[in-house]
Amino acid sequence: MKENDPAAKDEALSKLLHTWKAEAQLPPRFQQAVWQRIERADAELKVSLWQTLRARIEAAFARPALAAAYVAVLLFAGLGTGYWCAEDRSAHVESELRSRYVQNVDPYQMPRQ
Amino acid sequence: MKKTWFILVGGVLAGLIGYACIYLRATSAQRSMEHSSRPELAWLKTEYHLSDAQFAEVVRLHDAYRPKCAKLCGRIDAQNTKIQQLLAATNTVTPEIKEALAEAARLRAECETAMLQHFYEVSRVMPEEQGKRYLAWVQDETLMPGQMIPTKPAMKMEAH
Repeated sequence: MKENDPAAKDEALSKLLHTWKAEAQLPPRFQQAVWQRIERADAELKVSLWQTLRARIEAAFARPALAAAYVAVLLFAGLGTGYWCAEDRSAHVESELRSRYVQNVDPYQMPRQ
Repeated sequence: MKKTWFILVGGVLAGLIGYACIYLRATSAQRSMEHSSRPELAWLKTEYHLSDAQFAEVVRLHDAYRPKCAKLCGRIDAQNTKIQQLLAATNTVTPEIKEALAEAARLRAECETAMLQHFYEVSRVMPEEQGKRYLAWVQDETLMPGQMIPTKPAMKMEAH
């Protein structure tokens, strides 16, 4: 019954591990080599992500409809942003000029030095 | 790959060109007003659809009114300084303070009358409907009750 008891098994294993001593020597600069391998693996992963993205974009732009849609979306985004910015600027300039006119004709609102 | 880059850059360029075309076209009137010698009067011309002849007359009236306005401005400042000095010198309403406040009120009435006269003259130069619109707007900006409270010019001046 004792052999089937998990707590007893853990205790036995724990004792065994305490008695175990690693005698093999690590190769020189083992840690440095591990880190270099990790870095290389990261770099390879990054390159492969970029390559995947590039391949996907190329595949997408190989379809004329998608390429045209991309250009059209950017064109309309540019037109929309331009219109919005122009409206904003026009409103600002007109408001400024309105105020300047009022300041020019009203002695109570005229700017003082 | 060359084709992909061409499409990518082409799309961005199309967006930029679209932006520039719309922006420059939609702000051309404002830019021309800003670069004119008298932007505020150029705005008046655009806003109230004045012909060149009407605009020339408005400019003439404006130029004639400006010295009067500057003179009134000087008198307002002098009167305000006087009131401030009187108020700082006492803690009761003296006859001098009463008189100074009454003078400030007279000055305000004089200013309003001069302004109103100028606005009527300018509005008569404009097309009838535009003249009415101009009068409604300019009176709202200058003569409406609460508009000519003494703190407002000072607040506006701080903003500049």
